[in-house]
Amino acid sequence: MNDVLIQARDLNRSYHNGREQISVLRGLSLELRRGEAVAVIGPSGSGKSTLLNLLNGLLPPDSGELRIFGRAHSELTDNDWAELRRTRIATLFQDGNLIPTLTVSRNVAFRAGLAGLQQHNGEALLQHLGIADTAHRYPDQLSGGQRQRAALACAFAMQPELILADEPTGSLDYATAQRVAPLFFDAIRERALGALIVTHNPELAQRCDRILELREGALRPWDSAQSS
Amino acid sequence: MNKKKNSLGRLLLLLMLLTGCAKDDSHESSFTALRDPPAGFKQAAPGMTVRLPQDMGAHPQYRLEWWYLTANLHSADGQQFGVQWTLFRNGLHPGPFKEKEPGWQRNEVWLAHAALSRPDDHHFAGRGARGGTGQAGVAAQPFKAWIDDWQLDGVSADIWKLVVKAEDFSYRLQLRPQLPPVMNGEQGFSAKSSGGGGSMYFSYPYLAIEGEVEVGDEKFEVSGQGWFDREWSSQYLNPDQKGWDWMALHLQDGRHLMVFRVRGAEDFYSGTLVSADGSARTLDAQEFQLQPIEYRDSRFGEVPVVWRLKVPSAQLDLEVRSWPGDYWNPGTLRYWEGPVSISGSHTGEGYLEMTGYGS
Amino acid sequence: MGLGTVFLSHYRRHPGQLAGLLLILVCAAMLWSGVRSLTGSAENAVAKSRAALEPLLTVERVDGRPLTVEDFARLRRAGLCASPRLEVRFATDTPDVIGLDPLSAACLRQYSAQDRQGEDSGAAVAKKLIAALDRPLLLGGAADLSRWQRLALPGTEDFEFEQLDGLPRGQLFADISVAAELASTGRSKLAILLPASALQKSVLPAGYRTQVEDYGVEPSPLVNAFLLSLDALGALALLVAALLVRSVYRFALEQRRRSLVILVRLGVQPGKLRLALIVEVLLVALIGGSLGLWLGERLASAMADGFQGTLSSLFSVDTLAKSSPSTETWLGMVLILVLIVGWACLDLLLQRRDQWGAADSGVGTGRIATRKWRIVVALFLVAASLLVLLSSSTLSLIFAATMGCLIGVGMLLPELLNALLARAERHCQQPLLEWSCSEMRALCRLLSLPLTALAFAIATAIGVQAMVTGFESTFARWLDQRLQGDLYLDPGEVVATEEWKGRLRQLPGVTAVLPMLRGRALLELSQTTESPADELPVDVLAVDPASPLLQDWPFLSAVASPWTELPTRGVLINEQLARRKSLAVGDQIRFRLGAELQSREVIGIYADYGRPEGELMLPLALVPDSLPNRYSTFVLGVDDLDKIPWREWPEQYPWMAGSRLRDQAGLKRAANAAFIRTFQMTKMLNGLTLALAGTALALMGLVIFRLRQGSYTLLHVYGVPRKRLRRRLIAHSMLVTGLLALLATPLGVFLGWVLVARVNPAAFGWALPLHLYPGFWLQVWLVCLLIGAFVGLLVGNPVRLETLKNE
Repeated sequence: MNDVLIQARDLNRSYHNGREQISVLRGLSLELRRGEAVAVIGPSGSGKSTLLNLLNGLLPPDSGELRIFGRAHSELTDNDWAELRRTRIATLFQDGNLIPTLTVSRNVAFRAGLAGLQQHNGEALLQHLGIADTAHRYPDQLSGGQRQRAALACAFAMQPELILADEPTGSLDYATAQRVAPLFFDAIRERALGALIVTHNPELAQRCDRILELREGALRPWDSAQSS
Repeated sequence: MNKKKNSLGRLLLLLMLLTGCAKDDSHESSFTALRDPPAGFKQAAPGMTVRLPQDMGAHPQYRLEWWYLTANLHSADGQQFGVQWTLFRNGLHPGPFKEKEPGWQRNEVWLAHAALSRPDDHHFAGRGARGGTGQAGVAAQPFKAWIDDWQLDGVSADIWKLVVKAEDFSYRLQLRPQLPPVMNGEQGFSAKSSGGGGSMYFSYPYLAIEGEVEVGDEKFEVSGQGWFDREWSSQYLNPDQKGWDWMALHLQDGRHLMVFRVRGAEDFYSGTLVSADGSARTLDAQEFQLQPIEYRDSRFGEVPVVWRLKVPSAQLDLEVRSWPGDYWNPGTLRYWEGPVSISGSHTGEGYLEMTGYGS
Repeated sequence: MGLGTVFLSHYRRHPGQLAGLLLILVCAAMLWSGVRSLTGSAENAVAKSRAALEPLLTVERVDGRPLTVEDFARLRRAGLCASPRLEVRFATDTPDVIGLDPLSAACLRQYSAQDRQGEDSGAAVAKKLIAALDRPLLLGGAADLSRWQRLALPGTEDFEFEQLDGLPRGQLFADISVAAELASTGRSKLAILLPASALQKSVLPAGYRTQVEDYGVEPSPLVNAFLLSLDALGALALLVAALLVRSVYRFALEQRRRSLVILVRLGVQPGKLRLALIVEVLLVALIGGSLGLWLGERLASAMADGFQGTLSSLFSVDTLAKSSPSTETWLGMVLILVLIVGWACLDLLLQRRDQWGAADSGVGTGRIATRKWRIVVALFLVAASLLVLLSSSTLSLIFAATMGCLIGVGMLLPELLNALLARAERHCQQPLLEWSCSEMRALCRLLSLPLTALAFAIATAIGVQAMVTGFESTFARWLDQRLQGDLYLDPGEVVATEEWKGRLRQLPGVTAVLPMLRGRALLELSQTTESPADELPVDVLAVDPASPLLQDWPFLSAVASPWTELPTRGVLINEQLARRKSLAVGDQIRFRLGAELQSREVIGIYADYGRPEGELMLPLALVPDSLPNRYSTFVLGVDDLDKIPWREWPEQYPWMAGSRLRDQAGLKRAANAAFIRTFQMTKMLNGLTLALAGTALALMGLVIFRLRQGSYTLLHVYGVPRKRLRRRLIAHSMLVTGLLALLATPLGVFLGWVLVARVNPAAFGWALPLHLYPGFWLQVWLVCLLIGAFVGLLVGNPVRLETLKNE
């Protein structure tokens, strides 16, 4: 039972753009288990970011059922979602959002602190990710790859159970992406985390257990033969 | 300046309280002085004539009279100035007065207005004095009119000197009457309505003027021409009459013209045309047309500032246009006194006076 | 589709920015014009109150004959603004009739010297008299009217009577002609009065001379000091306004950076861009500035009007400055605009090509170096300015040094805030607290200019409040010092002091008599002196040290009980003398009183506001009869001024004939009323400065917080609930403004000190006391906290998911 981290059935979500109502997600269903890495690909504008925001409680679905860690979304208040995001769900962004006014090590400590963890192995994490020398630098002083790795360190420092990643290698060049990706997956496998990764990068997608395509508002298994 | 305004205001407050009744401030009652029946004062009537030089002096038997100068002056570099100087005498009790020596009386009140105008610029000062002290007065022979340190002095038969000093302007002028005085109306009795009532009124239509004007920090040597009015009465207006419009014009061809319109139930028109040689002719309502053609939204309401004056028999078709700006003289009895320029069949300059307008 | 369209498109997309820009400019312009207008009003009010307090002169004939109507006419014809007063006295116990000429009474601005109630009863009298000019009217209090009617003088049957409150007891007012009619039945005296200022415009004709009828009160030096400080305040307001505008432009440019960068990349020459930016700056500044100027005048006159109803003022409505902005105000506005444009352009001009593409780095290393340099410069500036301030006594240097201090502190304040918050950040255990500190640091950095402006506004408010309150209390004390006791008696000639003291003491109702003997003495400056150059002429004031009327004498420093020491060994000197000759308590001085040489110890220094002369205070017993310029006046304490017929004393007692008596308390009241308005207006200035700086800060704060939404949203993603974030935001805002207020308070105290303890002595030779008013500080702090809370509340929801998309 604790294995199923995400259970989504028939989710709908639309946006209002002036007078129009744009339906982004229509009847979307998804299941994610612990230790599973799922890639979501799709054309831009298909609602991938919206999906992520639904899954971590930043946006509510218009209709449908969503269960996170076994709890129905209708039971969860704002504060409950916040707690989940603090302690169990880590979100990674394309640009590796870090708090710009704190150094890297303080960023890591901050995340751990938010999660309520007294001890944290921030230095070890940084070391492991190969950015120990950036510990006292500020995010805007790092390169893209270093920033992404620092974001990874922050995410892992809070010891999450679920990782939601939005184009984690989107702003990295090929070589750097090649270097960051294994770190990412190693950590996921090691800690038996569930991960939902939105990506363009086919190599990254290949490393995942499943590849889903977000098309016309719903998820289907991706068929490489149908790629257009 | 403020203290002068206050004293002027208070005096004009007085003007409206001659009969000693209601102490209210309304604009309407401010004209009682001009409208009330004579009540013991002598009244101007048809058949009375003007005798000079005695009638240049004061007439204590009458209630209200004035010595009124308006002048259009220019400096050497072409700047224009308008000058007004008026001395009013307001009788509280009919004269002549038994007290011959100077003393503290309450028989009459003297009031003076002095103004200096430029296009879009108007300066005003007032003085007030009670009669009987010597502080103000008029002598007929030699002619002298004074109040405090303002003085119009007949230095000799054909030279008058005017000295006026106020807070923000002053002038010293020499006036020379070039034409003999003209009698307005019927030999000096000027009716103000068709139903009787009016004043004794004569004018010096053309004074050649020279002198100095000081305004602010600047001094100017000026010269030009002026019109001098001498008028006395005990009841100017009928109860239905609201006010008048008066103008004195100097034309390029050497002629001078005075016209006025008294506004009431039925408007009353009269005028005097003076030819270059000094001969004068009274104009009655049929002989000329006076019409306002343009109004200006001034500080105290709309006033007609541009007029059309046609005197067919004299081949005159004039447009009389006020200078830009506001030329209101303050007080309870507010009136407009401003310079005008003339165009049309003839060119020239003059002065426009309007009473009874505004809120 | 030109450059202009691209520029305008930015505002079309972000109309709020243009509105905000204009609004802040309007605020700054309002501040400037409001301050100028109020300062102008205050100056007018001061001029009017000066007039109200000026001395009144009577004219007399040189040959000593009584005055007549002709004299009046002669004086008027000489151009003097004179007004007659005919006093008719009847049997005792009947009120006098005072005849006035209402037509010339307006000459005397201080119309009735017996204006006890502070009402303008003088004006009311004149108004009624002129309305009734043609009939005999008597005005007065009810009791006096009935007493007079009982006289039933012949020929007065048709007299009218009207009761008028606020007139002095024992006097009825009438037109001078009415009084003249009554003159035959009583004793009459004609006086002709002139305001002292009339002699500045015209010359008295030959055969006449003037005498002081009423000394009035000469507040000029005090007033001048006050006006000088007002001007300083105006300059400060200008500084605040300039800062506000500058911060707005800096900020607006930052907003545009992205589109500007793109334009440069597209190939638009930076020079053309700069030009376009400058034109835009000028246009917006002109529009916002003109609107603000007009609004500021309206606001200022509305504020000034609001006080009219509550104060019984001596001024008429017309005199309040309600005119359109003066040339000076326009010039000032143009000056601000030019400065701003120059300042903004400097930024633009200095921006090199490579910098057009640089992202705004928050805390880069290059910046740290610049910051360190700035701190050093600022510290140096402050130190140097303080040095100059403490040592110099030249007014212009003092102003320059103050400006230097302000600029230095202005540069340091944001750094100080930053340092304090950084310290707090380091010591934070809780992660969110640490984040809060870093957020606030970012806030301070982004808002550094408007915060500095607010700091200056706070400092100005505190400094000016201290100055005004100092002036108020000083003025009150100065009046007390000048107008002690209940009655002031000037004998009109040199008299025997002791003899008079004895006689005065025996007058009914008199409880205390303080003789004040004045004269001149020579202060010896060196030990070996024979030449007159070593002697300084000083005034001498001799009093009876035991008199109870010597209270409230303001001592700056003194021995334990100076009044008891004075008769035996000491001398008191005034502040001016102490400063000029660097004397202190305990010094020995030698002085010559007439022929006698004295040596005494200085036992006290007293404040003597408003006089340039040095003065020695001595006991009466010490002063010889041969003292040069010896003249005695007396201050009397009475038990009930209303019940005592003190006005009749000069007639009643032959030895007092020719004396002049003055009601001290009434004059004090009149003078106070005159100055209350001035002080009120200055306080309004304060309020205006603070309010507008706060508004501008609020406006900018709103925009800045929008910018920071990304930070808060990130935290929301990290798992901090929305409500908590909202509360935090409000707390951040309040903390920043609150902290700023705390830091700015010492600056305000400093400003106040400069105004009273350095500017004043440099300009006038005497210092004002500096008082601290923590109550006022609390108010200011509260206001700042409120501003912070208001901004925080206005921002609303700090979470915006769109901000997650781009960094």
